[in-house]
Amino acid sequence: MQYVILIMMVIFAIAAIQTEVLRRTIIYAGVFSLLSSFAYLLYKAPDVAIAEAVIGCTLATVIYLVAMTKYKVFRVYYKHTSTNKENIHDILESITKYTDYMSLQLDTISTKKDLHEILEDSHYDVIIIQNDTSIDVYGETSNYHFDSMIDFLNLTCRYKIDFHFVTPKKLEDNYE
Amino acid sequence: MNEESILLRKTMGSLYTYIIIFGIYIIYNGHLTPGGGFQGGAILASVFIIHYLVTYSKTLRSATLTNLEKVIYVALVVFAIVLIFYLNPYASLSTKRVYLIIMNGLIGIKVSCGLTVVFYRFIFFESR
Repeated sequence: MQYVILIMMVIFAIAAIQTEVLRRTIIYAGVFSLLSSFAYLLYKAPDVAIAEAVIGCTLATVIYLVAMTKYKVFRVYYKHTSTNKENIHDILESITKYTDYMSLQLDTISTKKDLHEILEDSHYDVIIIQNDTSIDVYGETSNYHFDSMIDFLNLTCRYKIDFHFVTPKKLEDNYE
Repeated sequence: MNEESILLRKTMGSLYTYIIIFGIYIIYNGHLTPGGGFQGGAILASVFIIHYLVTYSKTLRSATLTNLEKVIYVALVVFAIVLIFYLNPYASLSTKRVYLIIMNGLIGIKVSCGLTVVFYRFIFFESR
């Protein structure tokens, strides 16, 4: 019985590393945690088994799943001040391609606010401001997706308009 | 996942009572059976997490929980120190039982407050 549990633990640990989908990894890690709590029970440590079953299997899995949903929404603020109607929404199409490629969920908001108002008030991932001559893309360096998005846009886009990737400092902490 | 589901709300709402009773049982019997303050507190904390999953309410006052946790931590240390100085080392079993139950209860409340504060802080403040 012990050997079966231990072998299954090894199998689920390898499966958690080798899967492509992140959500499956979380579930495999939860199953691994449950099996390890059962192994503790077989080694006659029921205290540790209860703690492992509650914390490792339940709380950690729920926290990982919540983190997944927070990580997947990609929110873009888009401000268009150009009089030229020609190149409108090209940048949004390429960002849609990027989010499809990374399997994210895109949330686009067209706004008329100033840049500083957006920076101070809102939860944004990327801010795009399109003028006559240039497209400014603002993002934070602490954002996980921003660097890869810069690479993706530089590789795939062919535009007459130049890009300015600006990474402003975070103005204030969100903590309380 | 954004709107509340009636099925989840009804089933989980009926489970609240049993989870709380189970957590209190594990804390109360910690000195006799496997379990104790930490495990029971973690089970009690899962009630708050289920509450978040069911209702998505944002009205939980985490400041109250933080203060309660600090107060209970001080009470725990003071209780242990006082008992070390005043407890007869040859005290009867029932006295020690009362002592263990009180300590387990304090630890349980503190752990459940702490885990809940960690969870809600993670959800509402740690964005990106």
